[in-house]
Amino acid sequence: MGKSQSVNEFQIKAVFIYNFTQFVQWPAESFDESQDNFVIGILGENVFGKYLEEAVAGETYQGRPIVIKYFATPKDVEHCQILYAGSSTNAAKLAGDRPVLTIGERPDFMKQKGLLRFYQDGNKVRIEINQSAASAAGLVVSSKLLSLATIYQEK
Amino acid sequence: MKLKGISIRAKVIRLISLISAISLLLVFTVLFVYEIVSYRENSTREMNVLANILAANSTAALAFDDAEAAHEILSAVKAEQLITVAILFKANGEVLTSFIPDSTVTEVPIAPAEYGFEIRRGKVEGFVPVMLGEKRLGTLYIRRSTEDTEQRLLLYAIIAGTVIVITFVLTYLLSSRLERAISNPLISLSNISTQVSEHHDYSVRATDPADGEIGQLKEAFNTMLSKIEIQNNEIQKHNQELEFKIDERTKAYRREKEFAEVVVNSSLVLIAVFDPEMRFIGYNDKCEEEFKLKREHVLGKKFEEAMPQIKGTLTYNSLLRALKGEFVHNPQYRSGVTGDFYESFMRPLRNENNEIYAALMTAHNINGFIEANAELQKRNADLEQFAYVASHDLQEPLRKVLLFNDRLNDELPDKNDSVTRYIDKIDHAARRMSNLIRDVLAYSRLARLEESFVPTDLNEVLAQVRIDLELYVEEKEAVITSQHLPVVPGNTLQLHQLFSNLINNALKFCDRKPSLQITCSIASNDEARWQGLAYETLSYAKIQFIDNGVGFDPKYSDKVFALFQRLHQDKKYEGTGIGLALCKKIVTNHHGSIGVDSTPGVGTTFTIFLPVKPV
Repeated sequence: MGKSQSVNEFQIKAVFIYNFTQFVQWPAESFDESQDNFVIGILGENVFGKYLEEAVAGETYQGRPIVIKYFATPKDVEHCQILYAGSSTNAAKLAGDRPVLTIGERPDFMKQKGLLRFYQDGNKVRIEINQSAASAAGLVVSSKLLSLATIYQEK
Repeated sequence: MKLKGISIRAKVIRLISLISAISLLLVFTVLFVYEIVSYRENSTREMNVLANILAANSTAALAFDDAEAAHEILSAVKAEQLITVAILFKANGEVLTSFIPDSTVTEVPIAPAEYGFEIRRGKVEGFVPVMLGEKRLGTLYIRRSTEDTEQRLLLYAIIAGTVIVITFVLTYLLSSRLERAISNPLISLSNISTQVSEHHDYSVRATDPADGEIGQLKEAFNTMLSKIEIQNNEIQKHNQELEFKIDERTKAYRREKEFAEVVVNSSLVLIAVFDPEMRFIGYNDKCEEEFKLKREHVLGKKFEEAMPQIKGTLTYNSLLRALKGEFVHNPQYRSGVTGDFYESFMRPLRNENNEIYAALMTAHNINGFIEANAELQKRNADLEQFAYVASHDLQEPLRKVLLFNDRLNDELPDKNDSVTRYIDKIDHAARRMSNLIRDVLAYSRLARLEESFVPTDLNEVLAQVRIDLELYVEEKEAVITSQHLPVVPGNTLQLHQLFSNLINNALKFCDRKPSLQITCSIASNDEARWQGLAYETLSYAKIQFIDNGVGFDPKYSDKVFALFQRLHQDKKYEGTGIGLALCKKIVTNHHGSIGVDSTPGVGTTFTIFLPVKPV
């Protein structure tokens, strides 16, 4: 994995996004009563192509089938458990009060109350997590994941 | 370890040492085996636990393809120095990271293999899957050195061996002391029993103090000795009594033997006993006298050795028959040894199992008897010849007396009563004399009859006699009954005369209506023997004539059969006195016997015995 960044960067990220479902616990209230699925939302352009759909095909989170929803603009964002914000920065607004794992790419995403960010370290994709914000949102991040990630410190 | 033929002392020591050594060896072996087994179980289990912890910790690193983090996780096993290899394979089989602290290790796997752990020489190694939920993220390989365990087991073995050796030595030393407590009383007992058996002295006792089983053994031994002593005394006492009894018995036996010898030697009969090989085992004084051979020259020798001329003789063959179980009677024969005549009996002697162990010969010299008999027979024959001639010649003059007396009676005129009476008397006397002569003639003729016997049916004889006496029976109103009679070998005329005389007598000597019963049975051996008959070889018919006549005094029973013997002089019972003498002669001719029994006023019974088979 990760031998050719330009081709495979989003492929790796797609797998990572799926892996987050296995290392993060969502509280029960994060799901609407009528909701059966675990929803991963993609805001704006679909940078993953088919990769993400392939990564989650047939997979579940605690018995809930994982589905992907695409939101063209921030206004379109519906309720979901993971929201990939892409280049958008206003994570807090996007998540509202709900326990949503917001994922961004931009360096200032964390300052905008984003919970998780991908960044490049050489040819490797790395993760930065705002653990305290995640805890405040009711998300429990596995220590195993934390041990791999950079912990964002608010100033 | 040989236990035979060594002292109890050595036995006890060896046994104790051996047992302790064996038990220690057993304990250590069990512990050792247990150690190995549990080590194998524990090591694989521990490795499994360790591998699973590592695998669990490695999930995120594998999931996020973080080799550094993975290496860091694997490096955590540094603390466990014996882990020599740890490798994390990705799901696709590529190596994510590996931890190999010692670069000299070899045989490092390059790809994941089957899950599970194996113990190989010097190492435990195996693969576990790295799972995230249901998903397999990769494979963990881990290897652990087992040097420590091997060293520990080696140390264990050394300690065990040392302990066994030390224990063995200690046990040997200790048991050498302890065994005395056990073996000393036993050795003491053994010495005492040796003393008892060698000197037959049952009064000694085991005195060494001892307790427990040895003490009980000692007590039992002493009790046994006491009992043996008592029994020994009783046996000795009993033996003395027994000896006394045997002595008494021996004396009694000797007395009986002497008595028997005296009786046997005093016998006028020759008595000799032969064993089954025909050797003399008995020989009485009479034999010495007859054979002119001393006892010491014949006893133990065979008959034919002592008397060579005996072989094949009647005596010899009779003895052989007796040894085969036969009873042999030789009434008369001439001895090949002495030349005299003897009568002998040979009989088998049987022991309590009914086996023949000897033959007894009894014999007596009948030489004198034979000679006297021959003389007697000659005289009898002469007498009979004389009687025949005399009676035959006497008849002629008597017929003339009767003839001329009759003429005298016819021609003599004017006879007075006396003359008539004289003539009558002459006639009567002459007729009586004629009858007498006729009977004497009949008697003497009997002796001369040499006819061979034929089977004679006595029933027919009786029937003929009944016809002959028919008028007489009617006149006397007599009743004659008879049982069925046998067929006997005999002379029909003589037997007719015998029956005729007996029945005639029964009718004649009777002063009431005569009743005559004729009975018949087979004579028993005893009855025949009492009559002096050859009961051993022949069987006899016993025929009785039982009447209700006047009878006679039984003291005359022997006389009635004598010639010219008349018991009744009364005119009422006429007779010549020859009838019963004739009967006796006939019965004797037929090898039988006749006897009589009578009670005056009640009746008379004549009993005759006749052989039913030819002699």
